[in-house]
Amino acid sequence: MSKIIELKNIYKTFDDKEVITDLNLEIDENEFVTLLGPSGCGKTTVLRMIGGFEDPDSGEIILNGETINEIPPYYRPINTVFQRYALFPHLNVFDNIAYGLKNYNRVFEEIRSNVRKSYDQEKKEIRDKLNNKETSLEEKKELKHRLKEIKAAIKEKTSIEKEKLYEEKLADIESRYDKLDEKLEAKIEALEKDEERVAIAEEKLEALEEKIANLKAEVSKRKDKQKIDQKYKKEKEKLERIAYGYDVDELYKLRKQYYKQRKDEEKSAKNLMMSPHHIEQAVNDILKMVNLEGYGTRKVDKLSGGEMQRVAIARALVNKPKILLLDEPLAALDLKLRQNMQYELKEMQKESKITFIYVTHDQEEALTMSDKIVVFDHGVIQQIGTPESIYNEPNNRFVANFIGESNIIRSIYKGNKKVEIFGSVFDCLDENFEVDEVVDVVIRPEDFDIVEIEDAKIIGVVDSIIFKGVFFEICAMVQGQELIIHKYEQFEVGDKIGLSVDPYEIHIMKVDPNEKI
Amino acid sequence: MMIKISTRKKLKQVSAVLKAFFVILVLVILYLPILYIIIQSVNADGTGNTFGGITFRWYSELFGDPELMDAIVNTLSIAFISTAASTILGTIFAIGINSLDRKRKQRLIFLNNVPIINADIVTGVFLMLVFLTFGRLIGINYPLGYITMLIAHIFFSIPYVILSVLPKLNEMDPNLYDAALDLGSKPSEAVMKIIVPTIRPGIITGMLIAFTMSIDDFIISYFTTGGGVANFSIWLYTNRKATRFHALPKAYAYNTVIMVLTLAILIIYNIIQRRKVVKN
Amino acid sequence: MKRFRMLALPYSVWMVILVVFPLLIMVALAFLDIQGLDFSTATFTFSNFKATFDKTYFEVFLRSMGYAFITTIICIVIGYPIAYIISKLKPTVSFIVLLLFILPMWTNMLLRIQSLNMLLLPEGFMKNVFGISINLSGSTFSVILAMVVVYLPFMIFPIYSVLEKQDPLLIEASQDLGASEFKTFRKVTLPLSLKGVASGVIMVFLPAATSFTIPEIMSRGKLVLIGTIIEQKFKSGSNYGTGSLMSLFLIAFIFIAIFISNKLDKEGATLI
Repeated sequence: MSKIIELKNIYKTFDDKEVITDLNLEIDENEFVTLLGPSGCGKTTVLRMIGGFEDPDSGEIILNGETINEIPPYYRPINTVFQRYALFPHLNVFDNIAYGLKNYNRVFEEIRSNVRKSYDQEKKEIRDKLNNKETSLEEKKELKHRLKEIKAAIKEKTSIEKEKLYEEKLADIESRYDKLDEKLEAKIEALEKDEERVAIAEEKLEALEEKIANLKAEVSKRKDKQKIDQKYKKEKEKLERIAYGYDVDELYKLRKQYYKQRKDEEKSAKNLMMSPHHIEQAVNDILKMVNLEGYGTRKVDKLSGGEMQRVAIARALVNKPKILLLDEPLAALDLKLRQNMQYELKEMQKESKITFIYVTHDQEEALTMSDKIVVFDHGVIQQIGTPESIYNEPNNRFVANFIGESNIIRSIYKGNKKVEIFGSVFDCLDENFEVDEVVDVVIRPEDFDIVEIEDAKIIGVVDSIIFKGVFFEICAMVQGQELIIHKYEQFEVGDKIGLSVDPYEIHIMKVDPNEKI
Repeated sequence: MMIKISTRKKLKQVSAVLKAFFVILVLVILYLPILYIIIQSVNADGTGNTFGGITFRWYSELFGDPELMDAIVNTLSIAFISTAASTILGTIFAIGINSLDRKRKQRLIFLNNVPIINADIVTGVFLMLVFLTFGRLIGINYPLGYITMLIAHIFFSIPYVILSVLPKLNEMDPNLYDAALDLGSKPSEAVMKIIVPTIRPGIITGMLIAFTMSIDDFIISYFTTGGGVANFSIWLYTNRKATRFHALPKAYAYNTVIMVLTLAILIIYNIIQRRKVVKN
Repeated sequence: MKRFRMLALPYSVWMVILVVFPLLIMVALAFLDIQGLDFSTATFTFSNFKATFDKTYFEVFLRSMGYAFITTIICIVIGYPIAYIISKLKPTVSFIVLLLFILPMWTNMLLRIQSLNMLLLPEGFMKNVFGISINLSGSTFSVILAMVVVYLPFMIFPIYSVLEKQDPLLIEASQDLGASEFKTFRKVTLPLSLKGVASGVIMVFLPAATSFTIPEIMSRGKLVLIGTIIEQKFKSGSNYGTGSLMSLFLIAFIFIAIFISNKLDKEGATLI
């Protein structure tokens, strides 16, 4: 999978506080990536920088190989789903979703960026030379002149490309509609030539009507008469269509419609925009995809939270962006709805094959939906990995604490895949540590095994026990430290329990000398 | 129990009647001068001392009085221009103020409220002093006139517009503008297509208040005009002692026209609104 | 939206020129013996202070306060019940009644006052048409009547606005806890509505105290209030020095009043 977006050496300061420090991040195509972290850790800032709403103080944002720092949000092929949805209150659902499609100058911007790319290398060289103190003033003058030339060349080439594209579109429209028109004309001709068919239909219709009248005369109850009407309704309608010429009328209408559509498309093509009926189709398609079929005319303020949510997603996705940014979109929904939406979002990402970059502080959400999680703290990336790897092998105390429940126990590595925890030696799998190095050991609450006290290496006293619905959450004191254990068995406060843990469930982390505990 | 309920009912009925009576009484007193104006505007007796029969000649004589017509034209032109200017400027400034950080926002809002809180007469004096001082600095000895009156009107109208628009901006989802950009709109387009329609009620309220303040203003205009340029209120004040002469009936006529127009616009607007609701 | 910050800048400049600048000029003028704005021949003096604190002016000040005070009280006495009654009406009816109270404001204020004045003349309309002889023109009554007629709506609207927003559940809760309707009003509704009353007081008292047109027209030039004096100083004469000092005191007075009322009401946007 190839990189779609890259952040290089990003720094950002707000009000004298450095919020993002030397950030480097790569995201692959077609991935569901979550930026996870507590409030204020900078994850939303990163998202906004990708979207173009904040500028980094230094560093580069690179999209598909092109540096996009200077490009404003309305030209980036990126769309955002905002916290609290930001739906336009004076427009209905349809107009909200169609909004981006009516601003279809993306195509134009794509052309322009392609043209620009072709000059990127030369521009970079010129800029480097200009910044170089050793270049002579004369040369600098020449170089600046060259930059101007390039700017003009880009403009010219862009409009040439635009014209080319316009011609292509016109040709496409022409061929499509010519074909349709041909078929339609043939149909109309066929129908009109066949005079007999109308006469036959009229005869049949008369006969049918007679038949129906006779049948009705035989019955007395109104219900039965209605049943007869119902039975022959379809047939009668079919004959009427031909007899009264409705079918030909329909074809004429269709011809008019095609004509109008074609004119609309030609007009839109001039601005490289979508024609109205294409827009309508796109909006209806996306409404279907988010399960809001028929909601087009609804007013935005009459929607429920979940519905608004979906309109916001539809509004963004309908533009087929390369990247979809989501800023804690599920925060305002209740639990059940949130869980459903998580599943739906994951499906949407797979189906649309668009890269999703999702921001949240809810680690469960992150674990559920993501292909890759980036854990942030205070503007610095703590760890990047799949949900499993982050859960099972956290890099440091922060990640271990943030993701899932964990027990972190200060221990000593004894070398040869052995570690001393609470005074007893356990086998483990890690070995990248020094002998007698002080380490932090992470054990998840569900990984402890309850064993007989005689066989146990760790003995604890139950301090509290809470029923969590699926399991019991047991807090046990072991040598002055509180451990959290999730088990199906129930215990009493004050019970002594024996604990054991398997080697692959012991995860060892280095102790960060600067860590704040 | 039964007796208590019926007395309660009776009490409620009596109190309802009393309440209605009270409100109507107050309204009558409030409207007395207005009724007087309407009646006098068609009174054949120009001095207003007796009722001399109905006539509409004051309405036509209205146009024949150059001084009064000048004043009316000034009033209306200044009202329209200053309302348009202050609505547009006020909206732009409100958007600017709304995006400031809290401290600066508070300071500017405080400054904004000063003309509203200040007594009319003090605001009038303030403006007069500024105009005179600037005039001296530039070398104009008599700077006061139509332009200064116009500036004054714009000055005291903008705060009302800002005060109406700011709350609407506050209520607005802060991400709306970014959402418009995100979907491909350039900044000016985002403002016109998204922000303005969303705050429209505030803009309209502000516009109406600005218009009302301007068309009725006396004292600020009084201090900031010169060279004989008068608006309707000033004309009225200057001619207030002229009751014995045929000055006032025309004024009453003008005012009645304005009142009737305003009422008509209100009613038509209401009817249009009702039709819209029925359509939906 | 931070890109919009620039838009506020011109406004700051505009307000500084038209608000702060004249204030400074006034402060300067207060200490000068000056003809008009001829700064070149002005001399530094404290004589303006002497003139301002003169007994006659102090009387005028008190008189203005008195008129304003009476007007405000009357407006509260009449306005509060009206606001209350309106707030209890059905929405469509209350809208119409409110509109009825707003409409007079769209009539030119001077014209209204002048008409009121004409109605009170002994030899005028009232006598000749209805045979009622009133000779109230030029009296204290006429001035206060005019003030009330003009400022009453400004008392009604803030009170109505606060009463209308009141949570009906509060009343139910109070009655649920045993209070009669009257007691509920006294202990629940009234205290909560004081914010509106305070707003109304500001919108009535200050304009009434500084009013110039109403006393001038209703008393036919005989009654002298603060507004009248300031007008004299600045329009009729050129004694900008004393006028400035008096205005400054007026401004200080106004701002202190606002400050006190703000302490009672944190919101600050109760004006509209």
